[in-house]
Amino acid sequence: MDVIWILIPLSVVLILIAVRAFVWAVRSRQFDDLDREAARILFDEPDPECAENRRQNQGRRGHD
Amino acid sequence: MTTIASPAAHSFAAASSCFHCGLPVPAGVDIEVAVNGRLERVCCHGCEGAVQFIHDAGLDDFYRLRAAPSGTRPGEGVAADPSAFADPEVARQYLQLDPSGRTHGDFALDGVGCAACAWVIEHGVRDLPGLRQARVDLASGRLSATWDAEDARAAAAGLTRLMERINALGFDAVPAQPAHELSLHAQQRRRSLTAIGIAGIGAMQVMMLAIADYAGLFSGMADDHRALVIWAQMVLTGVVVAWGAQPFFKGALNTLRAGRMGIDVPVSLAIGLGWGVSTLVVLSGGIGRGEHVYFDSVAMFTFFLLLGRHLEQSVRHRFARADAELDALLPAAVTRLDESGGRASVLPASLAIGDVIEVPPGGIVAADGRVLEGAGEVDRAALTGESAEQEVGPGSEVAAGSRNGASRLRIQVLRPAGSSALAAIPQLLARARAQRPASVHLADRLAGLIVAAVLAIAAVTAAVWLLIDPSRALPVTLATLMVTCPCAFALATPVTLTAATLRLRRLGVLLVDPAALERAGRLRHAYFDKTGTLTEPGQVHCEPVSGHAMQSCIDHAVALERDVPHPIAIAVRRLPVREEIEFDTLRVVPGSGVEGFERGRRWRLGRPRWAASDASSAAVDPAALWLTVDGTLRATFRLEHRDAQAAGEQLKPGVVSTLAALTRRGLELAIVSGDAPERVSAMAERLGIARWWGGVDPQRKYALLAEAEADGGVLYVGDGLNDAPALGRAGVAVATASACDFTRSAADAIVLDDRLEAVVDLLDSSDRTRRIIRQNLMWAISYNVLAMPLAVTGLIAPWAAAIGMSASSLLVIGNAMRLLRGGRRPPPHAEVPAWT
Repeated sequence: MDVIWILIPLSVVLILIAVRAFVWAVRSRQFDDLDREAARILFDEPDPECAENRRQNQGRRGHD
Repeated sequence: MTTIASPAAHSFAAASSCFHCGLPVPAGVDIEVAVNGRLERVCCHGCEGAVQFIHDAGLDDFYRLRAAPSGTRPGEGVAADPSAFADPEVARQYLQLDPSGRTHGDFALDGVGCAACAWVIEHGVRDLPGLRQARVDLASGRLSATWDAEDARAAAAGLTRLMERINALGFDAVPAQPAHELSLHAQQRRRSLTAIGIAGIGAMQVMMLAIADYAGLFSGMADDHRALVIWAQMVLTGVVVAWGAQPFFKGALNTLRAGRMGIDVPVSLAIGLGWGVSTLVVLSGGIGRGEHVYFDSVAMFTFFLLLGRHLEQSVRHRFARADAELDALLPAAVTRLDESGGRASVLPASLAIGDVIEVPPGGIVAADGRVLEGAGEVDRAALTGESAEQEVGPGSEVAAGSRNGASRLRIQVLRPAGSSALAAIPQLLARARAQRPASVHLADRLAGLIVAAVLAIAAVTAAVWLLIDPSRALPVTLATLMVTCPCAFALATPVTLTAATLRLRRLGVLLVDPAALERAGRLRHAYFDKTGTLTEPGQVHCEPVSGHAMQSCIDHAVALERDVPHPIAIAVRRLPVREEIEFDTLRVVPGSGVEGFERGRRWRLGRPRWAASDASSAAVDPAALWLTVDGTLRATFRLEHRDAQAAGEQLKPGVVSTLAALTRRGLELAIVSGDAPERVSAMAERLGIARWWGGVDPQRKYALLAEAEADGGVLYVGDGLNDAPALGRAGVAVATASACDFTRSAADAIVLDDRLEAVVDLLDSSDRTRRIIRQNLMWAISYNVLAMPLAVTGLIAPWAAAIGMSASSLLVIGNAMRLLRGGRRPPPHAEVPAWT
């Protein structure tokens, strides 16, 4: 069990590194908007063809 | 993509709420929009336009993923006219022009509530020319945008385009100054999140090491291994305490400096003692003697308290956007006329006394003033909470914030914008806040006693043991401190309040200030605003004679009633218009109705006998209005009544049962309304409320509330801007769903769906909350009192102390969690699936 003499201090060091990384992430504003990031994966990128549709629709509406 | 105005037969007869905004579709409105091959009903053409735009842009996901519909129709919110910002001089006030040709601007958004709203705005504006970046910040409800612009004119054009596009998407955007307060809040949130993260990561690790230690108690563990595990806990807990627990130490220091006692003091003492004592045990060689350490408790305790505090803070921040919203009630720019007749667009703030301004039809009056030219009606809803019109003509005074009717007014400014009655509302609110006595938690009052007791007992124990047996003095004193450590006591109140907040959230009430639950214990009065809180406007139903299109009848009726301040006319004006009709001459015939000519034909809307030449008296409903053309009936307009007594308004659902429940609780009811006294008295009589005040301005409301508050606590429920100071003064202030953000910022709790019964739920929950807080405090104190003699006499084993301490904290948490049982929200009036 002497290996814990290395493993436990090592884990403490790793935790301190993880804490430091978390603090960096918060300071660089990555956690400012939790709602948005949680939902982001659900949204599809809009289809570029639709933007094309809109331009055509607007043109058509302009005529009548 | 078609819009179909179909006759009544369609498949969604039951779905009477609008697909876009979620508001009920008025009777007689039949607009449908095709989305993803389905026909969806919408309530007005504003919503139709928004649905169409979002669909064409390929952003249909918005409807699938949003948390709830906006609840406001496009253009009905605090919409600012984009064209007012086309003037570079005005736009410049809101923009930061970068020498490199970039422009940056902030916008306050209205109607944005979830990630889907933010997404649809960001993507909907993406193809605007020159726009580099647009980012919505949900927490502050703001959009920050950057676009390319060589000069001020191009920048103003970019700003106008952006506003117009956001309006087209169905939201309102108003240019706003970058708010210092908001960035401060963001900073606070980041700081509290950092603390939570550190405490969370640390506490989990300490817990893991502690389990090794506990396991070692049973299975045996080499002393040096145990020492290693404990030293690691000590280091990690040190990080948690030094960094994560800082807010508590700072808070304790601040309250002590102010000569007061607060919950932060026992919290700090618990954390400080737990870590300090355990560290002393380690350093004094206590591990070898088999003594116990409490690093795990300290770390978990800190983590839980931080979580609760963060929750409370984020709710508070969400409703602290008051000033930005109030600015939006005034026009961003006004037209100032100089002596030679020249016009200039200026900011309301730069108006001086004696300036002459022009208010366009439908515009907002920017400053208190006297009318020089023009006559018509203005709507003082912002100040009185009533949508009742005031007739004005040359010489009459108009108040800032009033909405102009159909005529063009020239107004001489009497007071600068900053000292108008409207501007007085936030000042009054600030005063209300300052005067409301700070609520003193039961725990706060006991805290001083507890802290003094802990320290005194420890000192006495140390002194006595030094005399009896100096070698045991340190361990026994440490054990005493540990047992008397007020952990459970410090947890008792915050944990219960957090649980109560969650419970109320489920019941549809957003609790902004949890301390209101304690203030609810001494309520004696319940004051209500009338319009918007107890009543809602009635709906007008249009029945055309067969062969005539309903829409055309509505268009004509709305145009006829354009300037009439009668309640039924107001209700008619709320019908959706497709086409603007211009009547040549409009004449109001008192007691009969309105008459107008269009293309030589005489249109009348009013009493049947007057409007129609052939009104056979047998078939006439006296409450209906007839629309006639040259004496022939076109359509009848009828107020749809849930109750027939109140002209133009009806009771909201749930009012009667809510008032009955409040009376059963022994509260004295009263109505305080800005509406005309006779209407208030009629409503008070119907509801059986003895005390009422009508025609009350915000100052008077505030004074009445202060009076009632002095006579015992008062619950106030309101929704208007004019209610804000009164809400600030009330012991328990509830804003209803229809309240604007400014009013919400003054409230302790906000009813999220339009369900007045939630007020009763709030009071019931507050009863249970106070009971549980008392139980928790009782338990925490009695545990400490019972265990203390054992510890002082050195009889308690370290492991027993550890179990006792954890058990008492867990019991407190478990008791608080009882609040989460039950309390399911009954189905709201219009349920919308969230995230499905």
